[in-house]
Amino acid sequence: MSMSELNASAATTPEVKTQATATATHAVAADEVNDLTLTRLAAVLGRGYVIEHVPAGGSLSLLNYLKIDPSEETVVIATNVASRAAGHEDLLGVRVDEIDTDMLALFAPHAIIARVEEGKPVRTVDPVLPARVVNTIRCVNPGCVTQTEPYLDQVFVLADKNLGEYRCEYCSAAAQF
Amino acid sequence: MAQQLEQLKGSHLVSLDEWSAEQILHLLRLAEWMRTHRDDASQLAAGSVMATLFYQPSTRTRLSFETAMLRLGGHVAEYEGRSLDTDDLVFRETIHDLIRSLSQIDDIIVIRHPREGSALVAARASDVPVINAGDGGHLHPTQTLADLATLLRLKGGKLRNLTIGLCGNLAASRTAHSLVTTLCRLGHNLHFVLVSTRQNRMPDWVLARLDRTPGFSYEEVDSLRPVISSLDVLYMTSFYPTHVEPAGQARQASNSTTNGKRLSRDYRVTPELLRAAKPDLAILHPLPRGLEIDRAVDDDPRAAYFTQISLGVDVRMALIATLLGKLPQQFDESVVFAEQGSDVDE
Repeated sequence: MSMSELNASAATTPEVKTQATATATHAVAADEVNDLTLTRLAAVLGRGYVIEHVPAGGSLSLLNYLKIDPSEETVVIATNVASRAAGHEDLLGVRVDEIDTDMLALFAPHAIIARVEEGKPVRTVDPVLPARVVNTIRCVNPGCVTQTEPYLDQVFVLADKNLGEYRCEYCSAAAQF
Repeated sequence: MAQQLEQLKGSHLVSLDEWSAEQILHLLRLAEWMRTHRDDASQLAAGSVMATLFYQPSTRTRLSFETAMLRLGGHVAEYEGRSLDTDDLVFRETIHDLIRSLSQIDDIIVIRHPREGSALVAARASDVPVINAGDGGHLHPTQTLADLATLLRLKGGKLRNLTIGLCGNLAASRTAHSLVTTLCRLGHNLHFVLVSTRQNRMPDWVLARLDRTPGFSYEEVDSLRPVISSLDVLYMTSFYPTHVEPAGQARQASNSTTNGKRLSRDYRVTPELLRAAKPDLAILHPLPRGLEIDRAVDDDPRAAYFTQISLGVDVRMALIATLLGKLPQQFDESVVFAEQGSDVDE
């Protein structure tokens, strides 16, 4: 069971199902591994958030964007696990009270986030692309005014919601992540 | 009219995207009125001072702004000095500090700067209206206003049911991008013929804008010759960048197309090409030109690129008067373009 199905499941049964029904197909086996890992992550974490569908190998970068210091907070990472949706992906768990869903939407747009309470994922949180992103993405256009006016914030605005495209507020250059 | 334009008093013009379609059309009507009512407009800006800051070489745009202000009865303070040397790190002042200071002195500021986004920085720092006269390869909104004014004048006040060709380095032409995207807001039922090499084609974000605009369509071709007979308007742009890039940022023209002093016939307007064109074709060009328009075309009545310059002064007169809040009481919008049976779209 993926976390996208979690809300409906959690609404009917307080106990989150931890074992996928195994079949002979590799795809289901991959999901089974994923689901098992996710449940273990939540159990280890106790409380906080678990994040599914992080691009494989991208967990540490994502922590950086989320401004979560692994030396300060409890962080659990399962990296490069099998996934039916993405082939391979990272699973990330963080023991924090609040998480910056804007940054998650920006840097892991396909991620699904679940709140963890008492060692179990209880509900998902939908990340929404922020309208403005300040001092997170740096404009790479060498002709941009931000290159020579150092006091300026690096501001990117959501130019196309469907494409998730951000452009520099000053020079309109597309964001490069 | 009055309310739409009065709302713009004290505001800036950094990008036309910040203005509503109605405001742009009202301003274009006021520009047409300025053209025919020079005497009535001659004291609108009396006592006001406009600072011009051109960090890049400019002849037409700078003189057009200065002439517009003089024709409104105002004064011009031309800024010059060491600070204009943007590579001079010792003496260079930030855009913010300079504009903040000048806005305590002058009533309106016109800025051209090689850095993309510099006009937005200036506008945010200023206590008086700021007009973007070109920020690098990014935006040049008053050129677009002049282009639109020319289209309205030559096409009977209508921006509908036209086939518009754009030819040149469409990848790098800020004026072509701005014209197309603004027409997406002002026009109806327009078809664009985009003529360029594969390397210089119109960017995808502009094409996406056309795709999203109901009643608009486009085709991409690699030569003017097969399409010239279908065009009502031909907007030519240079294959060479017409603005100076900041240090270290070179934008290449397509060498395969513009090889030294040679340019493929597929992208040149010549008297021979125009034999197949419509008699009422309007040929526009933001200038300066390269080899894309033969000088023998200049005397053809379809050549409108010098008319563009003239109308550019009218547009800038209307813009300055509007931003200063010095609108003419005599302006009767209902008669503008009336002699041509206008149905300017709103």
